[in-house]
Formats: sequence, C-alpha cells, structure tokens
Amino acid sequence: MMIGIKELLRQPGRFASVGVALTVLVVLLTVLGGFLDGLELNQTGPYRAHEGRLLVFSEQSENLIQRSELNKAQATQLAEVDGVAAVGALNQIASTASASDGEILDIVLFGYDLATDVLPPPPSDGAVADDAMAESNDVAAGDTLIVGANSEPVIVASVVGDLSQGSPTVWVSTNRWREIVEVSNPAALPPEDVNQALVIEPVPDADLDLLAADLSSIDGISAVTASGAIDSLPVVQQQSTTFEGIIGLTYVVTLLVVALFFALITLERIGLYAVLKAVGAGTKDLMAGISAQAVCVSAVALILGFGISLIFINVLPADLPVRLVPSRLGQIAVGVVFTSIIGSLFSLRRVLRIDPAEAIG
Amino acid sequence: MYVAFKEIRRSLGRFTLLSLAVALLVILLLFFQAVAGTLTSGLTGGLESSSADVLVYDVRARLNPANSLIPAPVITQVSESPDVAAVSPIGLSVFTGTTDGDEIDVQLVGGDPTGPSVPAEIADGRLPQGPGEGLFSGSGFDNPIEIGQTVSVEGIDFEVVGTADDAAFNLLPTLYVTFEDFTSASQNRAGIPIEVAPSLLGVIVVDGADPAEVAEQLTQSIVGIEALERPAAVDALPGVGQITQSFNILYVLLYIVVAIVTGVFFLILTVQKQDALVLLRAIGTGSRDVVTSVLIQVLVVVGAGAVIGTVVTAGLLQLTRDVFGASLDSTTTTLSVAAIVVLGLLASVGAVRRVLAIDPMQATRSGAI
Repeated sequence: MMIGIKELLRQPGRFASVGVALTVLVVLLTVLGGFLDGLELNQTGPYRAHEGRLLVFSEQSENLIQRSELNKAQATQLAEVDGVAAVGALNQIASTASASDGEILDIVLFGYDLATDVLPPPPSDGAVADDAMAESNDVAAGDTLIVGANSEPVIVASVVGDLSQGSPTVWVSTNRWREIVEVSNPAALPPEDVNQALVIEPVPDADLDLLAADLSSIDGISAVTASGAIDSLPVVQQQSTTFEGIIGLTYVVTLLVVALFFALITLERIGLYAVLKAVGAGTKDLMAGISAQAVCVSAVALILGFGISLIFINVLPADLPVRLVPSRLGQIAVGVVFTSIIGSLFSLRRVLRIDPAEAIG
Repeated sequence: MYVAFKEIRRSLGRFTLLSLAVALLVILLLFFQAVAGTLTSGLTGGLESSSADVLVYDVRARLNPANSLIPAPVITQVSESPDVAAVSPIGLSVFTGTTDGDEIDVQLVGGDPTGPSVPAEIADGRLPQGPGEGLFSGSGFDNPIEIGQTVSVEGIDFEVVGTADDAAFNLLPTLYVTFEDFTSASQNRAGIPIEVAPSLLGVIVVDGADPAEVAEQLTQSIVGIEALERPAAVDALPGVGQITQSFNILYVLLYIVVAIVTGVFFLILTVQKQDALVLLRAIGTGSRDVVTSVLIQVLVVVGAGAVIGTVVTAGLLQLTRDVFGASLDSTTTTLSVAAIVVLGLLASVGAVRRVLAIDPMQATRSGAI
C-alpha cells in the first residue's frame, strides 16, 4: 500500500487526469444533490413545521391537503380517541402579498389552530411570516402585509424559520384565513365547519405511529406523521425518483471512469508488477496499493469538487432551489470513495494473471 | 483508418468501457431534457396553445393565473377597448373529480367555448357546446381521458367531447368547460351560491392590430389589470424560468463531464501508445494519418455511446411513462447527440497535440522506444 502512496506523491501529475474527471463528477453529484434537497425542502416547510404531530386527511385524498375535506363530526370523533390531546384545523390557499417595499409576491396562506415546535400559537389578528419572505423582502415583525386580491391587511406578529412550500408561507388563525379567502377567492372557501386537514397534538410520550394507526382505523380518515405526509406529495415522489435515478447513474459513470483509468494504469505497469511479485509482493499488496491510490485521488477530488460546488452554487441566481445539506455531502463523500475502491478493483483480474516469471523474461 | 479499427477490435474492453461511460452520460442528458420538456409543456401548454392573442390579469396576481381574479366591470371595459375583437372570461381552479371510479385532480377551465378561452387547435372531436360537456387535454404525466368518457366534478358530470394536445394547466388533467358549469362546480364546492369571478380574460385583437401594443394599451387604460400578449404571458408563468434555468445548469455540467471524460481517456491512450506512434511515424506514416486514426476512434467511441444512450433512454422513458410522462423529442435528441460528438472531437485536442508533437527521430535513439 505504501508503494502506491509513494508513487502518487512522487508523480501526482500522472493521476491529474482522473482527478480532474472525478472532480467534475463530484461537482455534478453535489449540484444534483443540491437540487434534490432544495426542491424537497422548498416544497415541504409546512409539513416539517408539524414534526411531532399527526396530520389527518380524508381517506380518498391520498394525503394531499388540496384534495382533502374533513367535517366537524370527524374532528369530534378524532378528539375522542385515546392519545389525542388536541385537534386543530389546517387550511391553505395560494395567494399574493405585498410588503412595505410594495413588491407583490406569491405566497401560500395557511390557516391554523395549534402551535407546534416551530409555529407559535396563531395570532388573534396578525400573521406569522416565514423566513423565506423575511429574507427576500426584508419583512419583520410589526410590518403590514397586504394579502390577496382584495388587499386584506395583516400585521406580522413574528417571523419563523423557512417554511416555504414553493413560495413563502404566511400563517394566520383559521378564522382570519376564512375571512381573507371569503373576500379574495370565495370559490376556494371550504363550506362552514369543513377544513382541508386537521392537526393532532398527541399526549406526551405517545407513540405517533401507533396513534396514526388508531386514527386511520376511523372510517374516511387517513392520519400520517409529517414525514408520511411529505412522502405522499407527488411532486416530492417524482423529484426524488428522477434525481435519485440520475445520481445513481452518475455513480456508475464514476465507477467506469475509475475502473477505466486504473485498468489502463495497470496495463502500463504489468512489467513492474511482475518484478514486484518476483521479489515477494502478493496480489493483495498490489491491489491495496491501487485501491489506496484510488482513495487518495477521490479524497482530493472530493475536497476540490465540494469547494468548486460551493462557489458555483453561491453564484447561481438566488431563486434557484439549490441547497447544500451536510448529510448529502457526507453521502456523496462515502459514495465516491466507495465507488472508487470498487472501480480500482476492476484491475484485480489483470493483476492476478501477472506471472512473476515475466520479470526475468 | 485500418489501424484505428484494428486497435478497437483488439482492445475491445477498454473502448467498450469508455463507450458505456459516454452512453450513461447521454442517458442522463436526454433524460433531463425529456423530463424538463414535459414539465415545461405541462405548465405552459394551457396558455401556449390558447386561441387568445392577449391575456388580462388582475395586477396583484403578478402574472400568476392561480392568484388572479378579474372584477366583473373589467370585462366590459376590456371588450369596449379599441382593437379588441372578442373577449372571454377564463375561470381556473383545481377540483377533485372522479372518472371510471378513480379519483383525480382536475384543472377546470371555464370560459366561452366560442371565444378566446379554449385551445386554438383541437386534436380530436369538438369543442363543448353546452352544459355537461368538456374538452380534455392531459399533461404527459396523466392517463388520457378518451372522448365519450365522463368526469364528475362536484356533482356535475362532464362528458368529454373533444381532446386537444399540449393544452394542460399546472401539469394536471385539464377540462375546458363552459363558464356556467365552472361557476356551478365552484358554488357546489363552496356549498353556497358565491359569486365566481374569472381568473383571466382572453382577448382576440382585430385583424392587423399588434397584440403587444393592444396589451400595453389595455394595461395603461384600465386600472387594476395587467395585460400581456400570449408569448409574454407564457414566459411569465411562475416556475417556468426556474425549471429552465435549473435544467440548463445541469446540461452544461453534463456536457463538461462528457468532454473531460472523453478527453482524459484519449490522452491517456495516446500517451500509452506513444512508442508505437513514434515507430509508425518513423516508417513513414504521416502525422495526418495518425491524427485521423485518433479522431476516428473518438468518433466511434462517442458515436457508439450516443447511439446506445439514445436507444436505452427511449426504452427507459417508454417503460416509465406513467412516472415521468416524457418521451424523446427528435430535434432535441439529434442536436444533443451532435453536440456530444462535436464535444468529444474537441476534447480529443490534447491527444491530437500529443500526436503532432511526436518526433520520428526518437525512433533512432537508443532506448527511446
């Protein structure tokens, strides 16, 4: 293994070509992962805000809030189940809002009843704005937002973390939500005593999965955790399937690039390997050297690739949904190193076939 | 040339590996293009295929049809404006409907089927002529609804009487119905007889008038609206710019990867066979012949990769049509494959430079080969 590292240190230029190819592949993997995470996080903020709660939809809605309708009788039925501490409404509608800078922006307006770890209790008259709006339009507590086609004013009571759902989100009490929708888009207002979804606050230490199963056994009800609701979103499913498939293929390309490079290198060094075998080096030692070189090259490519990706993503337009998540970078690092090791092992067959006798002609 | 093919035949493994790498990159690129094309057309098709020359929005909607509501007096004001030949309300809303017992999200587009609220071209059947009839258009992600099938929305049964291609809104199965039916569905959903305002107005301009100028004139003369000619309205749809930009970035990265992978490996191959190339040059082979040999190998490897990639992508997209709803566009595919082949050739410039730098005299030096 040491001889492999020594060769790498003495002749780094020899490995520059595969290093450059791997670096570009790391950039591609990082940007793809950034898009996947960005798209998912940008679409799922309201669901993530309900971690530790259960979200309830009508059974036929496939856990999609825009399809779901639950009436008062169902809400009452849910409140009576053991393990349920409170039941609250959750409604949404796409709308617009303008802040003090006068710029009109698309928002999703949520009406809610129950506080969560992220959301404060619904302000009686004001609104909670999410960080995406605060950053893009410099919105702060105390500012007045003009919401909807009929210019309904709401005062921002507080700003919470990024809860985007494609657009920034604004959160008001259920009553205020109904008032705003009634005047700005009456066609989209659910009937009285009907809500799109319900939020269940469990009693302390309740097992969420068990509680979800209990609630789902009620006729016409589907109860899921926040992550279950996210997984049900078709946009998330499609994006995950597409991007994960593409990321998988990129790993295969990485594998082929490393395999091809080390196959060519091995071909070039057959004579040298024969000499090493003749003086007692085993196939295992030779392969360890090749794999060590692959790991070192991929480590350097990862450092360079992450650095380039960071710069690249920072110069992209701010409205593009790209986010670098540490866990994604960790996955890419492990994936590239693992793929490189497997790629380097493609030379094993050729190394096994080297006859030490070739060293003496 | 003969040597080029002979070398490929003898070292089939390494050339195959490189072709496979190129093929995978072509698959990635074509897959991206197909999915991006379907996404974009599913978002823009409704407006792009519209018979309206100009679309009128509520100014607060930021050109987002989902947020726009046009007050009733504006319809009269627009229809009385100069250079306006016809106006139709366009109501847009997503409903949950059922067809053949299956529940689906359906985008209802309510309007005047004889006016500028429907697609300019019908693929099959006819436009709706009265209550309970609808014209269907699906995005690539939907199962098509055939003529004669019924879609039930909020207690109203719509019989599909015609279909239009690429005229969907919001990537959803889209049903063009009369504005009266749209109003009834909205009221049924609300549970009370609410007043239902159109989201947009479609406008046809008089012959000879410039739609962009008419749109500008409408925006200036009527308070609270923003009018755009149709192509500008399509470009302004939310999400379209982001999708295009995002995918363009990925295309550029993929093209760079193809160029680097191809370039790097032909450079390594050339360095490896440098001795053989010196000998060839020494026995009289011209540098042009040797360079031609390298370029032919690049063409064969990249060309084979592109063909394999295209065929596999076409097959994969066919198999996953339910998931991605995408298929290959022949023009885009041809241009992309041509770009990859040209990039492969350009990327081999390093290898070609190496070949041109070979001095045949090296063959006469002791130990040089």
